[in-house]
Amino acid sequence: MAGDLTEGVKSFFTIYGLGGAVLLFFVLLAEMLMRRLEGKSLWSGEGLNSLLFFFTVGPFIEQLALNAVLAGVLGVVYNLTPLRIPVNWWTIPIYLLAGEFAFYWFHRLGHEVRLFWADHSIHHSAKTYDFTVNLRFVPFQTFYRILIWAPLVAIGFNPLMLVLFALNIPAFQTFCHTQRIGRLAPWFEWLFVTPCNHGVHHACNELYIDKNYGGLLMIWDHVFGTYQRMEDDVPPVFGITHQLETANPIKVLGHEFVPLWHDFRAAPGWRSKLGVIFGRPGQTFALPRGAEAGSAQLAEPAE
Amino acid sequence: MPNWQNRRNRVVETLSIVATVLAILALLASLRLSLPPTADRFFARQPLTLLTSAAWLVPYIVVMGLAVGLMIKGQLSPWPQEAMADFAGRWGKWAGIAALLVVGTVDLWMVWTGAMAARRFAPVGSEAAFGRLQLLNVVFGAIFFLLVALFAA
Repeated sequence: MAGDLTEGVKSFFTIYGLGGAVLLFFVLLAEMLMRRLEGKSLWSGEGLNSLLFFFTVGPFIEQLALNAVLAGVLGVVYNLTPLRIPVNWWTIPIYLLAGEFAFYWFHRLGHEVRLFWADHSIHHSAKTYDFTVNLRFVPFQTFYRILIWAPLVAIGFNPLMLVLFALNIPAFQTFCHTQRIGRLAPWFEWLFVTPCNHGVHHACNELYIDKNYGGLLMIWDHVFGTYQRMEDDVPPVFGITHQLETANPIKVLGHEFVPLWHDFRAAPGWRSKLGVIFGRPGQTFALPRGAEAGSAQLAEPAE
Repeated sequence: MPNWQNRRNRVVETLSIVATVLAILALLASLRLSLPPTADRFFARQPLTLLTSAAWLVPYIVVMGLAVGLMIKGQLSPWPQEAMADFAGRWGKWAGIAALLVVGTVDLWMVWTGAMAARRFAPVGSEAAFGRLQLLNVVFGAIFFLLVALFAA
């Protein structure tokens, strides 16, 4: 089963990878042309570095991780469980809701657990919000996605369908990372992920932080109280609360991992150290940013 | 024909009919976006507003990446009538119609609708400059279909 699963994943990856790459190229080209027509430079510095580094390294790591994790964990779990949820016309809506639910919690973990935020914040660290944000791949997300997927597979969901769903969401959100579309109809903004409400997700204003985790739909945000509409009187400030003043990809890659490591080393006692790893960003022990490791102080809210 | 095969055929047919309905709605929404915003007056009445709503593009966006990937792999023809014949032969009439509509909509976006959507949402003052996007969209679409032909060959 694990072999079939890996083959299936590879096939999906190849087809979606090719299709997604063409569509991504399309929107990036459009972004460049529109910037040019608006009298701006073709690329922002952030965008160019994202293209040269993250776009080449990110998918490579993710594909390796995804194949290994799927063959190693999901295949075993699916073989062990006697439960099966068939894939047919009446279970498709169930798969859709379950896939959205899985994405919601995987995404929320990426924001609300510091270890995972160190990875996911790479995607959020751009101060611009345009199609080049799509290039800021998150290299290690498969490892925490599995925390959500494994229980779903254990209760009988077909892992291939979950993988397919996981590939759909970035393909869909390719078109959401832009300020060019603006606000759509209120009911549409309420129900679906749109460029406007996903812009809220990418903003670091206090009102907007840790909101709108949905992949295609906003329903689980409504259920769990994390939905936030874009307010006219609160223009979004894109990026993270500790804005990066560099587009150097190595620094972007490590900008949260390095302080995480320093905080972990400096934290007094194991309880505190575990808090640094698994606690919520901004609410754990933390050294002041820029301070030397060892000068322990309680944290200012970080994210 | 064995019972399980009859049941499988019914499931395929049902899914194909649902896909066809969604594909028709996605095509209508795409056609509306392909026209200048001034044409919106025509769509500003029910049921046209509902039938051409951008909401119908949500499932289509998900399928578009798959369709483009299949085209480049040579597993789906970019010509709607060829895609229809292929799918109808494999999965029946309704699957063929769905393929015809999906491929037609993908083709439309690749050569035209993208630029029209960008123009529609252009910031104030940029509309005139964005007029040139349509030509570039046609060029991009032509390059895409050339690549598909090369890969498929």
